[in-house]
Amino acid sequence: MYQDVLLRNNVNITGKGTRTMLFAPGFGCDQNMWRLVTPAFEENYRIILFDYVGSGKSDYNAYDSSKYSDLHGYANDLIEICAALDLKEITFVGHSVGSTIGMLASIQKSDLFEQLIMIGPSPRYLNDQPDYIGGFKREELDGLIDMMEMNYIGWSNYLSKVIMKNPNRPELSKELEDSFCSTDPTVARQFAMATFFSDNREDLKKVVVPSLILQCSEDVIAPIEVGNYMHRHLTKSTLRLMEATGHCPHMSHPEETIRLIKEYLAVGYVSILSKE
Amino acid sequence: MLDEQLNYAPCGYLSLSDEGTIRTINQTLLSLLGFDLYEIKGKHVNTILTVPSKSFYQLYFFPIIKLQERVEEMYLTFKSKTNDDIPVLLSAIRKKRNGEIVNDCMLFQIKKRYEYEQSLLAVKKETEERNRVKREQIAELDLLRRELESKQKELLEVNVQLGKLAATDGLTGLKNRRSLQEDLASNIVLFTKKSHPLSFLLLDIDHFKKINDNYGHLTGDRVLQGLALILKEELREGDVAARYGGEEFALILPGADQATAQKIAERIRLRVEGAGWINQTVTISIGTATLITGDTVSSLQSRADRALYSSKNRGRNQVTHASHKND
Repeated sequence: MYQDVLLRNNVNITGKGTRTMLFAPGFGCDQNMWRLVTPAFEENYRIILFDYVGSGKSDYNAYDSSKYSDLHGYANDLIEICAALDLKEITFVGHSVGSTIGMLASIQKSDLFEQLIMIGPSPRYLNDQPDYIGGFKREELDGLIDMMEMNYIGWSNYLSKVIMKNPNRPELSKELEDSFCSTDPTVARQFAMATFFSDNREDLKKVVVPSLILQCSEDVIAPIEVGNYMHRHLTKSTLRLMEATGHCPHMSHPEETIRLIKEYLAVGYVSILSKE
Repeated sequence: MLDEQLNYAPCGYLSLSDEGTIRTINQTLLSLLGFDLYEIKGKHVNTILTVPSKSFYQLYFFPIIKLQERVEEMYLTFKSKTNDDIPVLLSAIRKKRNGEIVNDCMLFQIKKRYEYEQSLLAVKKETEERNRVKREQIAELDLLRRELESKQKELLEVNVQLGKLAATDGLTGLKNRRSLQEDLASNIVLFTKKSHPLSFLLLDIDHFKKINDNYGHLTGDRVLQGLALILKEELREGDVAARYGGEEFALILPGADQATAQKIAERIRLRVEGAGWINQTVTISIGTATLITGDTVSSLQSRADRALYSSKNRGRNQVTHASHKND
């Protein structure tokens, strides 16, 4: 059972420490996204990396449309990974939707988590006027999902499976296999729907674990208003505005990302400082 | 500065910093977008991307080029100065030039292919929608079918119940006359064919009217029920007991010859005599008849009836077997 979970989610473990950091990727790509950040923690932490079922090198046969139709299915997998490795009081680092998945898992099993580090999180991507700015109108999210389709997102993996049966084209297969953003076409679309049309605003107040929100400047996917909203509604949260722009500071600005995480790990949650 | 060839090449050229700042852009692309160089040079690439493309850039373009140093055949929509969507196909490489990292992009507009793919996607969506509706309809039909089946089952059960009720005498729980006659007819056919014996008994409670008059109808009913119970207890496998009407009862005894029929009849008569249902002795008269060649339902019944009549005439509380002739 435990071995199954580790294979299912392509769990990889590195690092020398006794305490644990678990990194959850965001939407689109797999655990490779963390490779500029994790080496900085390997000395002092055990590092757990994984892929979501239906992404990266996970077991695509384990994909279940109804289980993964919303983010709770992914959160349950995360809990199972922790159980399989007997993890407790981990430092969870999630990017984008990975933060939400970690947050949902922490609501179910708070004792698994010591703290949540959320990079570019958003509880809801759609605007809900007049009180909530998520950053997107419905047609814009529809446009994004159409754009994934126009880019054959997911098809590379699908094709690589087809091509692998064709021994005349090994090089193409290898190339497609190496793609870091591979998913199955149906999975990609469903994951996109589960991610971009989720509304987890009500869950924020259920979180009891301390959290760090790393908010990028000029992030079109999780704008500053969203970071502020999360900070207001998450108890014991700390908000740090990054110099990094865009949505993937762990790739574009790994040094700043590492520095802010380390600062937080050193001090932890300080209520007076962060709430004033 | 771009050389003349690249500046006017039949494809757009764009060079971005890692932050997404537009460092260089060729004239072909500027013309396509309707901008002048000074308007967008140094601006973020978001300035010339549609909202979905800005997100797509963050979710896919940037991570892929950062990890793989190249992006191939990416579809994006650029936004012109007049806010028109311009679908393009873009390939990019990431490299170091003059000491800094650059992301060089080549792109060209896709018009026909875009329209073509849009049509394909529209058809795909339509098909998916139709399939979805179809699945829903099938599920609905399935539900209706299951409902229908369960209703049919209910109906069959009700019919069985109704059939039982229609064939049963309400007071005694025995079969009624109509049902008895059906049974008798089929038994006659069967036993004539096999040349096995079959006997038919008619039983009538003696002076039943007096019982009713003296003790009331409820007591009368109890006597009827008492007799019915004795008949039920005396039934052998395959025997049929029925309330023939009023205080008259009937028994079909398949396989019973004259002697057996008389033995059974006599036993019943005795049991009734000793039953002690009320303060006075209740007796019955019985006429028995055994099937002979050429018998019909009515001939067998009428011989039993005549035998019963003989029992009554001879003083009641006795069994008479019909003579083997129909006159």
